[in-house]
Amino acid sequence: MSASKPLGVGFAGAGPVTQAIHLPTLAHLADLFTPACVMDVNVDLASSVAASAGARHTNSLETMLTDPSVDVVAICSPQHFHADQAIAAMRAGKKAVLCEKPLANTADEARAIAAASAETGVPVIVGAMHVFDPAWRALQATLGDLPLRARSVRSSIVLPMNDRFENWATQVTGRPDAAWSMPGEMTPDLIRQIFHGLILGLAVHDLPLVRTFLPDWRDLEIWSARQLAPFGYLIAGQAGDRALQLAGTMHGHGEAYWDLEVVTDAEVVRIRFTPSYVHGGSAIATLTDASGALRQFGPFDRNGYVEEWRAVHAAVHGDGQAAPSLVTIAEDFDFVMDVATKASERAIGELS
Amino acid sequence: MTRPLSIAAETPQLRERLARTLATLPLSFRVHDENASASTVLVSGDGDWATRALRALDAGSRAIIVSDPGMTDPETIVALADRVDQAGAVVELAERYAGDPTLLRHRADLIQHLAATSTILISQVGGFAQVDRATLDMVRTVRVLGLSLGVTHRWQTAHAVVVRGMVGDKLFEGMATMGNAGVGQRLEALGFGRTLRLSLRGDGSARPSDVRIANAKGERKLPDVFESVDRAAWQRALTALESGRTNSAALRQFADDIAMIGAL
Repeated sequence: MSASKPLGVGFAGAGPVTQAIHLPTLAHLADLFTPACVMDVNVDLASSVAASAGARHTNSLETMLTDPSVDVVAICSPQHFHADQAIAAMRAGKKAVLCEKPLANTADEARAIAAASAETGVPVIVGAMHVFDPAWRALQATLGDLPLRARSVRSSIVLPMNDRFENWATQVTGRPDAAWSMPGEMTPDLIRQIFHGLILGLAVHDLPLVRTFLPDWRDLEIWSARQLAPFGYLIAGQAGDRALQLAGTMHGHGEAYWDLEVVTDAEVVRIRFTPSYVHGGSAIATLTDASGALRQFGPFDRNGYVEEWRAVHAAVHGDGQAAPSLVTIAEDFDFVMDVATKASERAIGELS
Repeated sequence: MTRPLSIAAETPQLRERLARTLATLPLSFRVHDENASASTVLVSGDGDWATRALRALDAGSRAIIVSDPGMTDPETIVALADRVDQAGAVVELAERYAGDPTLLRHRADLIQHLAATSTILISQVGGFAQVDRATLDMVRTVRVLGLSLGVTHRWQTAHAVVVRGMVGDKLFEGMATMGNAGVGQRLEALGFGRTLRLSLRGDGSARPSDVRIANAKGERKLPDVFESVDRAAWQRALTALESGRTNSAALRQFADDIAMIGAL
């Protein structure tokens, strides 16, 4: 148990991410955090979510930021609000900001968040749960120079639709309409929009981990980018001399396959992550060498959501190593944007 | 009971492999007596294997088993297929992935489910001297699943090759990486209502590959087959000889696949 009083959390946005991810996660950490306020422009939604969490509600960010019981702000709004809301929270003197991924909408916005964090001293933690997954962290601690020897990196995300897991995590209220159909005519703008949505919405989960194995990530070249029906992407390329494949798609059955694979001359790393939303424990990571010997990390009983909130708590209490640095966060975002931009341009090129 | 077939290895390097498989089929095969030509010859799939297989048939052998057949002249393979038809002989390809006994045992089931998928991905790890060989391994696995892969693009780094193409109306992308750990071929076939996942060992052992099908009813692991690629090929050769039904179609398909890759 923590000796200090639990930190009050204010939520910017009351949608499924707040309801199905963060509120159930904080229930695992009642000694560290307590829901203090829920803000949403839809005041009925804010009221409903806040009531079940035992928190106050408002439809005004300013009101929430002036609430002294709010120590930490969780940004769970649509991504184009992230920068303004995160910066406002820091300038309001809050103790930490947990910002859902993607950090921002543009590289300039990401830099502005980093600058505000550096200026105010308020830590910003990106809610990239796989970065905090205990199995990944345990594996990461043993990697040594393996990332420098990676020959190929492959991320494959094959998942059921989100509502399946949201409904196990909580009883979601006010779920936005997620109906999706493949557009009839593809235009360059539409392709750009689709690929940015796919990369910033799905691939983004693992791109910080992928970047770990791509020391030349700034030299990213995309060879091929295709859409997968009904909703997905298939991207191939290289960064430096390392081959990269990113695949992601949603399907209509129940099995979740969320894999990351890294091949070197003499090792293979494989990680199978648990699905989003649910508290199904950590990933299982394996490191196999050429003799066939296999080291397994996990499954641990806690997942990346719990660990990212623990990192928020540690950061508030002065642990500067609890979460990735601002430089790492900014570079992760640059990489995400680079993948999205180059993949969409390649896909547009293939259209013609 | 039928008399056992005599079998000989083409090269000393193949003798150990022959002995291991022979021990699993002691009533069907026996070691070749040097005083006569072997009825079955184990030929290495390196280099001009089709030429050497033709030579063995000309020398009187009735069955050839090609171990890990690789890239060679497709016209010679077609000539070998013609010779098979003329002589009523048998040529069996013992392919490390496409000949996987677990894959072959569940082939019909997999083909049926594959029809409900729209994308096929392969990730392959192992040693390969040429990108053509890595490409061939992927093309052949897809072929065993009843589909013809048309490769349209290929990119490579120093240690990996990425292959892109179409399998009928399905998208295909495969990545092969040179590495000594975690060797094998993993295939994912993705569809809205179906996901197929195959993890093929490719190590020549009897360790079973892992084949799974997921749909609305959940994920089903198909039964293991503890048989090596070589043993399964020997069994096919035996069955073909006993039935008198020789079939050169597999050789002609192999020639087509090699020609397609050669044209890239």
